[in-house]
Amino acid sequence: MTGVAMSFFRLAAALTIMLAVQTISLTRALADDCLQDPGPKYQPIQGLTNGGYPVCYLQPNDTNKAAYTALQSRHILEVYAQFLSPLHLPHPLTLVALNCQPTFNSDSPFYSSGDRALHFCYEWYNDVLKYAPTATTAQGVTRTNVITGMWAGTLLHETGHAMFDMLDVPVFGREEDAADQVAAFIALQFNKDVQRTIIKGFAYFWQMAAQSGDDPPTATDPNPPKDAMQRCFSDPLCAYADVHGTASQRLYNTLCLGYGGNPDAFKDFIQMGWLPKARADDCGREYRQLEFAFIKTIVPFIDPDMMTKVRSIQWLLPTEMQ
Amino acid sequence: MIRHVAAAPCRLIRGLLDRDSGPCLSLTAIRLIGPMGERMRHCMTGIDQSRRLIGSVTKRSIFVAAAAVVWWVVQALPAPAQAPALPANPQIQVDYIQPKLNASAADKNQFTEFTAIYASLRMRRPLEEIQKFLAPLRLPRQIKIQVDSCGAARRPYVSGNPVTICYELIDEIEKIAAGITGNDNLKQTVIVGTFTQAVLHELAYAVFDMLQVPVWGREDDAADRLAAFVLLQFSGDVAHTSMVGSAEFFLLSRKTWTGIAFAATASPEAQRFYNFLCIAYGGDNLDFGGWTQAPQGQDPLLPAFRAKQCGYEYEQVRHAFDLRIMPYIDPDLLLQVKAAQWFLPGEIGK
Repeated sequence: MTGVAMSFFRLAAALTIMLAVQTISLTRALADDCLQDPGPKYQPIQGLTNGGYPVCYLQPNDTNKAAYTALQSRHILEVYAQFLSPLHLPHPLTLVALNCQPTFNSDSPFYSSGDRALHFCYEWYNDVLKYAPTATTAQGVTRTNVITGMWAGTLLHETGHAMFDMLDVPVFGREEDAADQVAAFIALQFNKDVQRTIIKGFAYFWQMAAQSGDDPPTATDPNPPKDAMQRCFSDPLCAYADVHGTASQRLYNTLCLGYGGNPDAFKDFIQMGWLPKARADDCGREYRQLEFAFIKTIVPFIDPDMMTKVRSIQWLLPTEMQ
Repeated sequence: MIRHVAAAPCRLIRGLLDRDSGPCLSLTAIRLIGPMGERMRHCMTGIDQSRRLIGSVTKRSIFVAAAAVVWWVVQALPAPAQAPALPANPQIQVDYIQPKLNASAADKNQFTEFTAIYASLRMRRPLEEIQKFLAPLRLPRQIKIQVDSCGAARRPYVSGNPVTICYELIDEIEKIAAGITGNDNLKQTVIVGTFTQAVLHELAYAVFDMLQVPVWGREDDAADRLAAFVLLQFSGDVAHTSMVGSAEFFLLSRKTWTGIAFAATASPEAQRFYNFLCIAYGGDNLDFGGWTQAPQGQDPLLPAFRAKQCGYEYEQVRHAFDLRIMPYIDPDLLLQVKAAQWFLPGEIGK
């Protein structure tokens, strides 16, 4: 891949929580700055109103106008707000689509505890479109799988950070891995088409990242970058200081949870050698451990009737699962 | 690139690259020295200075230092130390399983090494000290902690089975420590600190299981974070030896990870190295603050982008511990354990 692609994947690895000290408060300004829905207006699904998930599309710059139009016309934030409606957080979680450059110096979506907002970057959506494979891969992953898997997986990952923060969830492991677990686990609570679209798309993204050189290097860079963080990521030791797992770890973690949660739907991962058997043998246990954690720490905040309704709805369009 | 990894003035950070580069300071000394000019000067002064600095704070834990038997296999074995007067946890049994001889020549060599470890462990009885160290932990059922031959460095915990510390791991710790030249204090810190951490790491799986703890994230990392957090609650000696020893061990034992190796449930040694640095720094940024400092033109051992969120990471583990494990801790016994002198003066770092 090109240097630009590598840079994208490096940034993409973020998908992170941003601590309060790094954030600026957006929510106060949101009411005035949010764009009006140009129509046709979103028709909410009855019975899934919560009020805890205000949405806002901020004005895109010229580069991001197409991304704004695509996301807004799909009503992606409005739909996701309804998807989340069974989850009762103690504070509103604002869903914002915005230009992340240059303000945050990153294309990568993030949750910030400082303003309790999930920031979905227009640049990120553009990047995924740019790097999603144009042809079906050897693993049977389609371009649509990657695009849908990434926007859905990213929203779910960041929602994981928001839940950990607002619900005071005890997180013994590394939070970034835990947020990936949230994404995979929630995807696995829906029908097989949804499961396979999100799990395959999210996993394949990390494979692309690994193939682009996003895993820690094995040799020292003779010309290390000047930027301290980039210099660290170019070093065989320091690259492991990242709070995120390596791209390959995230790939295998995702494949493992898919197979562990639904062996019938994902047994082809093993048959094609994508998920090594040595890891696969433990995936059922890993999934059950995750399920137990979700039940213990998140489920008490979920309205069961609304959740039943959410699970009965086909959230992805047929064209988004091809 | 981190310049001081490649051109490190100190033992810890150049260990992988140049094991025979002569006397120098470890993390131990780095954190104590403080300003980088001082660090460089002390590095130049060599082993005597290093010993003095380490010895000033690093005494020996009775239970921890019993792990040093591996080192003492080739040293004169000291008499068993006196244990703090604490009750052993009645729910914890311990056992040292005698290694068995297999057919091949390699196994014969290993058998000899493991038998020496076994003999020393039987004399030093470190697991009995751990029974006392864990006295405050109220477990709902009995659990055995054993040392056994595993055929690998780890035997994954299975609910209902014992927690196993493998002779293979102790042997690896000893061999890594033996590769450290010119700094006996650091050797002992690696042996003692890593063994202690390893026991708590393995026990963490059983604690998660028996106390029905929800585990978010990869369990291997969760076990590391719990072990590190527990060790950081004790005196500077316990915290320091276990954090520095473990970090050094992970650094010196790290392997090159590529491709499908990342499918492992275990985390890469280098990732564990930074997790330990971060939890330690997050829990005590005075004692471990040296890791975030660097001389002009060099990068710190713990990069700034990670260091700035270590306080958050530490508090996250503390929060999880308070919610899910603290209810099973006897507060009075905890105070007794914290007050006990697990490290005896002069037994390590002399």
